Amino acid sequence: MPSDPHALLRELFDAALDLPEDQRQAFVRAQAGDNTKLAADVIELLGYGPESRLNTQGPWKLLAEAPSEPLAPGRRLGRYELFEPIGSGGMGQVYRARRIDDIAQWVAVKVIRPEFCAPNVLQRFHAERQILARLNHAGIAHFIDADTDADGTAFVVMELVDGKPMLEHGRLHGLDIRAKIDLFRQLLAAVGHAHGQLIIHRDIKAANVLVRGDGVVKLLDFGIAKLLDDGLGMAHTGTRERLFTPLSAAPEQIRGESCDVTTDVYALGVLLYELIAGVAMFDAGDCTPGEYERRVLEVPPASMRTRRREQGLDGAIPHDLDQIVQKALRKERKLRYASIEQFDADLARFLADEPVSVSGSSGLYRARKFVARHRLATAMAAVSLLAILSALVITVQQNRVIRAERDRASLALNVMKEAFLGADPGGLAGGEVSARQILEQSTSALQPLTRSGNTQFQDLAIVLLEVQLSMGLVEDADRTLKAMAEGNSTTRPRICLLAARVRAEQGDLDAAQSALEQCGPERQLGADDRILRSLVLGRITIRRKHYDLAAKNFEAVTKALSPTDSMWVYAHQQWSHALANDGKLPQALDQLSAAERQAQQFFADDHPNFARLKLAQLEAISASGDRKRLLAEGPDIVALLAPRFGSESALVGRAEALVGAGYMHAQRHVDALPHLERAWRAFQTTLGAGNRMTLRAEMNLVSALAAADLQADEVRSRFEHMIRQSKTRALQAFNDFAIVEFSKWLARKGNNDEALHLLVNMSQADTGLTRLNITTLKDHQQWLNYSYWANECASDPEEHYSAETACKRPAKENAVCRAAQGLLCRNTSGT
Amino acid sequence: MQEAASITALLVRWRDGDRQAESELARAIYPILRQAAQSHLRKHDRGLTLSATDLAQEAYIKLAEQNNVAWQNREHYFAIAATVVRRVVIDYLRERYADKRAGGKILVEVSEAAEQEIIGSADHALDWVALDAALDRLGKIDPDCAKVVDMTLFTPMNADQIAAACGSSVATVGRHWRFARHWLARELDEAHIKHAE
Repeated sequence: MPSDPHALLRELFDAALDLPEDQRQAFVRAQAGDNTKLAADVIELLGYGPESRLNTQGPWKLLAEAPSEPLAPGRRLGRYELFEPIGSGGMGQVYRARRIDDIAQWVAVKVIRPEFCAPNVLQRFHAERQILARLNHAGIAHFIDADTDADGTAFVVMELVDGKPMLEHGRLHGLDIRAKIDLFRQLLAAVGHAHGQLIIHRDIKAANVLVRGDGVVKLLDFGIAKLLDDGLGMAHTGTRERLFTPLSAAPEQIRGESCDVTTDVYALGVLLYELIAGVAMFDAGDCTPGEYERRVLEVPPASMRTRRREQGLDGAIPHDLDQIVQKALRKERKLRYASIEQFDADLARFLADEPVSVSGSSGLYRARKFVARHRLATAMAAVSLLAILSALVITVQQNRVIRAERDRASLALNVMKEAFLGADPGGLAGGEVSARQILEQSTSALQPLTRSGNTQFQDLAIVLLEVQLSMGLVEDADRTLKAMAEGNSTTRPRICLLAARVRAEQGDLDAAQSALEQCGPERQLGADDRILRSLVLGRITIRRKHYDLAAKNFEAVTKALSPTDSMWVYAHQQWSHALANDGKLPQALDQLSAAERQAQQFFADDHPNFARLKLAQLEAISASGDRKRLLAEGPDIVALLAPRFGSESALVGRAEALVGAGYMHAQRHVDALPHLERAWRAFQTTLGAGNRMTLRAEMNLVSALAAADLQADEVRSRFEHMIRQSKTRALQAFNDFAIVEFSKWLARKGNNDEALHLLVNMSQADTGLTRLNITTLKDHQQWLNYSYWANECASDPEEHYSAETACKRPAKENAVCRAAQGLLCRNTSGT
Repeated sequence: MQEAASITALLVRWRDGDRQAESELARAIYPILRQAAQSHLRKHDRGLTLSATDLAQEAYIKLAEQNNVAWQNREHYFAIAATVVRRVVIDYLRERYADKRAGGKILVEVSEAAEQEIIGSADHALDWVALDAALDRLGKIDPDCAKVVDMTLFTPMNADQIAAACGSSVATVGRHWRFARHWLARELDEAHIKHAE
């Protein structure tokens, strides 16, 4: 072994990292032997890596839980004889012990681990001794002694509490909510007493709160208590050793800021949450310390009610109690209960069925939640459509919030507040709030601000634009863009590129191309913008059906991105789509498998990106026209995705739609029905009824129903529904298409009169029929002609029944027939 | 011309295994990189941007064209330039801004993926001064590892090229980078916490 300390460290670190995660710690300890400093160093370093996991890593937790060599029973420490270990705290092992000279008195002896015997830890340890001596409360395990023995081993002697952790006690005795709160209030009284002595605990957690057999609650371990006054001259603010327990640490502790009474309020909130809900507020199992900390810093916990539902537990939790816990758990200290007394008073009021201080939530708080949602969207902006959707929808549904703690944009807050209040997602119980609606509201709220030319707004607007594009809300994006253009004379390359993308998505490819050219030469763009540029170019070429070129464009985009990049999956999906359309399905699938392998190095197995890649696979198969394969593999892929995302997610909706379309192409209409129905339902839930995707899905469903000649009533009501939903300018083309399709169906069913009315009415708009696209116009003409003759608007002895004949022969004295004749004539003479 | 001659001479010495020549080489190319930095600072939509990797590239071209320096190859040059690029960037930031954290108003662009791997997320900007100091410390205890970090961050080279430049294997480079990520994360984390207080 090398003698240089760093070489030793490197060697051990490298070897440990090559091992599976769960073996590393033990390996390091074994290899380091007596060199405990080396072991601690390596373990700490291991904890900093991107691959670390909270449950096995995280330097502080490791230290807290490291199974230090237990002292042999019978060992003496000062005047105490140690018996079996009964637990371990942040600083070391705790043993049952008794005094040598008074064998009747059992005590708990906490042995401070030598690693912590750095000078300032010893100092703290001495502080603890003085602090604890001042605490005298039935709910606090009282302090007896503290000393070091002849070997220099430091220890604290405390009252031995023979009890069970509070959470376990609650479970074992099947306590109801009231009984749990009674128990918890005992704890509050104890903490309140300590606060009265100007002592805060800083490490209140489930393991530190025991309930004795006689029902008395005892709080243990004022291990890192801090004096509020500096009367003792012990000002260790900003404790660097991070001895707190990460799972119940308050945001300020994670940030390394100083603690105060509200830090204890937070920790008590964490405990009360788990006590009442029966489940911890965050899952810690599958995230890295960094992720967990981010949650603590930014993600407000779900309501206990929601959390229980998630876990498949039932049992109602009163709303007020949820509010009380939420108040204790606020990220900002000043929004928490300012004192234990206030916390306790609310619980007392709750028990007495009186209104609590937090019932009902203020508009501002709700507004913040919205900003928070927006921030979530920001983080994921321009991910594939589904990430955004699920993010927005989940946040709306579950009332989850990403806090905007460090959000400097008060402007953004106000904008979003307006948007939020306008959209009223709080009225969830009342009606359907779709992501689209919220976005729509934010767009209109943002518009006036665009004129202020505020750059902060620009950032926000860019995010909004990217979210809209990724959700496929092209028309909304277009409106955002227009609003931005009104206010800003200076245009950033990013906005320019996004504008080009909007044109491309709208199908105006020439405009997109020229817009792109105006964004400046590629070499002048920043790295991100260059990627966006290639992406837009790819979208243009793919829509021009230059698949070969498009594949090259997206390949370049893919290569420029890392799997952790939000656009990465999208780029892969587009690339494979282009390849599949180019008759290169095997390459497309190879490329997707390669992407999957690459993703495995970056994401946990259950990361949604894997599902998105699966969906891309299905899309490629579908695009290649290999129907047999689509129908063979499609249902399996759907079955794989549905449990992960819920059957009513846009992602599953897309997969179902593809499978449904596959059956339709194979003329298996009845088989297509359930898939198309589920697709429509998923889009309806996630995107809202008026969304283009939702409408298309409904149209496919109706086509299948009609083709299978099933449920005429449903077909009719669905057509009417779609036509109503698409009565907006943005959806004009769809609306026309739907009316023509409805008329065709009616005519086929023999309702010629109704069909003729509908078709004639389409010309009543200002634009006449000029707005129709070629396909719709041709259909319109054909079926107008058909309905005209079928309605016997005129007679044709020669039985040509053509538009030309309709024009020549006199029409019946009937307004609709006349109008129809006019339309038929104009078109025959026009062409 | 004298400059070019001395650089060439230093290169020869360096190739012959003269370690001393390396730091002299670095000193010799520093002004050229400095100059490149002056002209390279660009007005960007997000403010002033200094792209470390572009800088390294540009200085290479300049050195190759103007001074007729006999670099063995690109990798050879980058191996030496990497640390110099860091110096130039940090000095530049130091001189310009009283608030040296996060580079003041200049946005420093380095290999983005590498940057993210160190700071974990794009949420907060990299503290360049802290990183510089940390890399100096790492250079003292583990020079090979620090070199790999410099090359990863401040040159456009990938792992293969870095391995070639260092005369080691891709696996070794990977190990260095892996260790550095952990080590720097710890160092920067501490710097970051100190800041938050």
